Amino acid sequence: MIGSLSLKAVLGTTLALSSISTLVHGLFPDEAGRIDWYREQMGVPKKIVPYTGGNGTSIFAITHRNVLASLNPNSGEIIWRQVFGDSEPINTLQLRDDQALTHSGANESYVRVWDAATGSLKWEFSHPEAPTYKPSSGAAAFLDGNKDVLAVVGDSLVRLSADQSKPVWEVSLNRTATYKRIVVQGDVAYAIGDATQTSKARQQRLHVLEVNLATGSLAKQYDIANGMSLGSDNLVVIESKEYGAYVVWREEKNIVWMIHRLGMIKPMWDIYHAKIVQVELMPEDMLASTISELDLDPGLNENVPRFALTYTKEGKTKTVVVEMFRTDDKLDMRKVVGFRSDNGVVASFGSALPVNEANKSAQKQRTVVSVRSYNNSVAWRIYSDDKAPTHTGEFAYNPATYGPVTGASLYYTNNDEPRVLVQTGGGLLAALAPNTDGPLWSRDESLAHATDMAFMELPPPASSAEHAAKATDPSVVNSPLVRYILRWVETTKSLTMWVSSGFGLLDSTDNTASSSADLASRSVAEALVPTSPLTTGDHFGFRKLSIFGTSTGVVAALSTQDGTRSWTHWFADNGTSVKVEHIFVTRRTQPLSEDAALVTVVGRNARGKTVVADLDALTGLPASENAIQWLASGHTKVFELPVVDTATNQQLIGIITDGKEPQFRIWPSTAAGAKAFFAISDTVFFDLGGSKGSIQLRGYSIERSSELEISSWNKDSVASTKRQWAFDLPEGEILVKETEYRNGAQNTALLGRVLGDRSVLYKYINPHLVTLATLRSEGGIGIYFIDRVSGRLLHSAIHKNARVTAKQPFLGIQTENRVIYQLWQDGSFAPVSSNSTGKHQATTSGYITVVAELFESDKPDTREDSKAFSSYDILLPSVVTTAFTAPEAASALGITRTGSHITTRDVLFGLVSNKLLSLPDQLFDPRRPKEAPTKDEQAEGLVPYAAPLVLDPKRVLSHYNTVAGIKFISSAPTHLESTSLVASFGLDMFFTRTSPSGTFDQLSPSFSKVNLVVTTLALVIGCLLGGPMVRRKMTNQAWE
Amino acid sequence: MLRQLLFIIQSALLLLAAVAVASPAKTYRVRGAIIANDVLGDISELSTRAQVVVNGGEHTGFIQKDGAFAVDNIKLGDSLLEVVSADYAFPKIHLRISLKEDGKASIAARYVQIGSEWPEDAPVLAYPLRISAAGKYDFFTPRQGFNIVAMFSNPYMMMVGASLVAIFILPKLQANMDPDALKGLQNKQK
Repeated sequence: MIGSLSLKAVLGTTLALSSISTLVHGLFPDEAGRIDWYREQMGVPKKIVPYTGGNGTSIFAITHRNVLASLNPNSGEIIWRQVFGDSEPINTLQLRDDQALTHSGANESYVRVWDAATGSLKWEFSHPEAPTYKPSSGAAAFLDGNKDVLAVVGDSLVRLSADQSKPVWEVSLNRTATYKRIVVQGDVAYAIGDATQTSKARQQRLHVLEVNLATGSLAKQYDIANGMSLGSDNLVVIESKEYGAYVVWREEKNIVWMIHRLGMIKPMWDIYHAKIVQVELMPEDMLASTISELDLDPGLNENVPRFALTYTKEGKTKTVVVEMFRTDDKLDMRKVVGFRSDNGVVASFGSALPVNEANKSAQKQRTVVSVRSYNNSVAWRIYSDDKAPTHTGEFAYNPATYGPVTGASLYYTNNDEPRVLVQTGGGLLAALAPNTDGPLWSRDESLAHATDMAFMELPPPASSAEHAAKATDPSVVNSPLVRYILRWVETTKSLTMWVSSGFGLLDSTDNTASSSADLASRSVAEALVPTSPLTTGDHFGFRKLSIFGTSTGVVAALSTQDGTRSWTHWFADNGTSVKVEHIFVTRRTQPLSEDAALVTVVGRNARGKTVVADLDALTGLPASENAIQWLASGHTKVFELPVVDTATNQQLIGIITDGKEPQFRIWPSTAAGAKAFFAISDTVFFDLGGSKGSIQLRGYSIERSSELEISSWNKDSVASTKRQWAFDLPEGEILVKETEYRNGAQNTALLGRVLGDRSVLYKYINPHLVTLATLRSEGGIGIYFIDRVSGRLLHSAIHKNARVTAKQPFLGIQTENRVIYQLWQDGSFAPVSSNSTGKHQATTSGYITVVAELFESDKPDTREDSKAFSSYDILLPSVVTTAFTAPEAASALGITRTGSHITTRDVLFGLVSNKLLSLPDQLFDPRRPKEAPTKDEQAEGLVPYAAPLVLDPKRVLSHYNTVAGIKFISSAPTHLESTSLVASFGLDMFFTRTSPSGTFDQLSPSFSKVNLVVTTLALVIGCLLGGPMVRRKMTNQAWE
Repeated sequence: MLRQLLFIIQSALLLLAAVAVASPAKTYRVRGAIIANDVLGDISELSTRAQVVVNGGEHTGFIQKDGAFAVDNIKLGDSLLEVVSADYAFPKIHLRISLKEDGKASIAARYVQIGSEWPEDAPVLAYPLRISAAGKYDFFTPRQGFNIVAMFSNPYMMMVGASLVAIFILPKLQANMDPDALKGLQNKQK
């Protein structure tokens, strides 16, 4: 199918592009940053390490989106970042000597050392995938005094030399444990892990391994801490250079804390609560106490090891910081500082050492910060001893926006000013400073975890005259005549204002000033609480709300025009985030309607239970008292129903929940909603089994409930479903991905395609079309087009050399009568095409983009002779398919949307090179002639076929922005038919607008209104001056 | 004799088994460097803005300050290596890792165009790879300023020009015509 890159093909592509580029131009330089906005993100941090090195203090973070980033401590901006693969989680981060060390990977292990100042890789070591041993172990640590690294990779402990990035020595771990921690103490190192359970009878415990650093010889290995695992609430590993390294734990149902010095098999040492906290506790209170580590890099501790212990006494919760001390030969514990953390508030703490050298020598005291969030504020205190705090602060914060504070760390600026970094459950990161009201800066990282997004149309701005009239007598505005007059009043007013402002010349200079503002700093220095939520749009529909749902529980509304936040709402169940999965705009703002616009959110808690909520789309607050409801079980599918509840004017949502047979629920679950739904329930069908790994797709219809059930419909009511069909995949095939129409992509302006001879090929547009991609056991990918109503197979294809893996995903999209998908194809020696003459050709590996266009018949002017489309009766579609080579690997596909679909639809690619590329519809026409085009084909405007889709930089919508990790591309129409809004998100966010067929309904940006006025004036003056002259000439002629 | 034969067969089988076990697990590291040229003079900025991708994301490599990179865990056979960058275009490279007779792996790298043939006759690149940027993307179309030629090449302006000629110049031409010829023409029009 994919031919060689012959001269003809190149010429064809060039011709194609040139013929299309006459339609559309690239971006103008001054449009960048004015019609689009970009937000660079890193994801919710897993670990934050403030580090002071040769270049001052920076904040380093590894995140749940597998990003390693360095932040500016004064502004929160990303100085540099490295984005790791989706299947390569970062497990460890350690900073020493201006170098950052990471250990990453799930099956494969990578140890990398980065330059902390620039983010460039210094050296790396990798261990290939070990299919026999996947214990998810992995740890790495720098050695003292030199730049070598000790790491657990695969099933080995290795010492890596910075010079060679090769193991100095390697010790096999023999699957003894899942190692997650390395402690370096002088000449020896300890690897600590959760011991592998050889038999069920044996208890969980830790396994410790001692190795000699110089030789790599195994000194000893032993088990400690029965019933415990690393990361448990009752266990810490502490260390310091002077005192050595210890494991402290409390076994379950035991009130005694055990302390074990690493390397000493015996004796073990125990200590009672009273000795640690210096308070007598009741045994039950002791059993509930927990301990946590305090230092981000305990290996740097010069003097004493410390940890924090939290206990409850008489209903009050208190946290004490405890340190080890030595008197003569005896080790003991003492309290350093204690603070209350009661009333159910979350107390977080961090510890840091002031930066300044002078201070360092004078006072080796580490400081501790405690942060409490309560009511609507966050309070923090910094202690250096058990006396009064040295610094305190408080700022107003509503936990309903980003959740309560879950973590805190402390760092010092170069002038030894303390800064507190707090992290919330919803994914907000904020830096606090003494004597400032709000946070110094904040980053909303929840949006890097977005799962769904919906555009919400805003009402156009009403004229102020209209507002004034509405305020005095709302009924007046209902008359069209009054509104017409009011609009004229307003227009006259703005005209006079425009004239008095110097014909808008001053305005335009203002615009350029605002566009030059640094976008990056704007995205960071965002106010936590927006001063004025967005309630009105603009005349062109460019300004809408984009409402995001995230897996951190945050639902956020952002302006599509500049990304400013309108509102945020944090969904939680008992203090833990709810994973938001779907966002639907279920009621739009209607002119002259008092009903608030609604957005319906569907999410899932940690136990898989489903929550549905209606939020006011303009404020983010729950729409009513019963607006948030928990369902009895989890959902398997959620979709919009093609019906509106007339009583509330709200669009209905169908929710399929787990049960013996799938159950169908209606949202809102009211009698009026049920009545509206059952009026159309015959036309609603859905399918299940479309998830990855499935081998059967099943189609269902919904059974009609009785009139009594409908009239008493409530939140517990369910309708039963009936299985209509089942489609079994051929043996040896498993489902990879199911694709269906999204966001009205099936809508079209034209029922057919007019050919060169004026005949028509009718499009086969079936809203119930479903595309399945399957993985074949003998290799290759199968493609099936299924009708969801009847379960009929409409078309199938096999890509023998294609491959779909986690890292080489299948991407598909359905638009009008086209299915477009992209997959990886291994280089092959296969025939070029099915009708080839047997000539075999070797083609390169690469992604291919396949387009299948569905027509009612392959004969022009032939179509189904019936008024209604029936999935049961219609003949099979005629499918025309062509493949192209994709310019690059893509991570997301999308299409542009316009109001009436008269404008052609661009196909949008989120590329691995961090770009958003838009390619014209014409290129994806499977009917592009492969031979010299005939007259009819020329008349139809078909572009000659060429296999490569070329990465034309003029068509890169994201231009110089690095839009990393695009997972979703969404589009919304504007009030201008030519223009559509495009949003891409995943890790970074990028919003822009584009005109696939050119801005045919707008004045060109180069059109000068001033020139027009000046020309008209010149003509008028010319007439006024020329008139008398002509009259005089004519009079003179008459006298002659 | 039989024992000897058995021993040979046994050792051959063992050897085969060892190869069979070892070969699927054996993967290779491909090394290379991005070299500065006129298009991209300063390599250091690339380290946080570009990556090396093999087989469209199957394996990824980060770039060091001096442009050096390594991609690990590449299997025997054909692969496609790309340098992905937001602002620079790089040539794509076809890698063929094969085992030589002595059991050592050899790599043949060639420039390739996506969707085209594996160019068996194309020159093999030096190893470790040395890649330099092919071009810097230019994302923008410059705005066209005021252009007098473009203004007069507009068809409307041409029509205006023609009308002006008809209004002002034709009567002058008429005046210069021979009166007899003019009369003849007028008669013809009648």
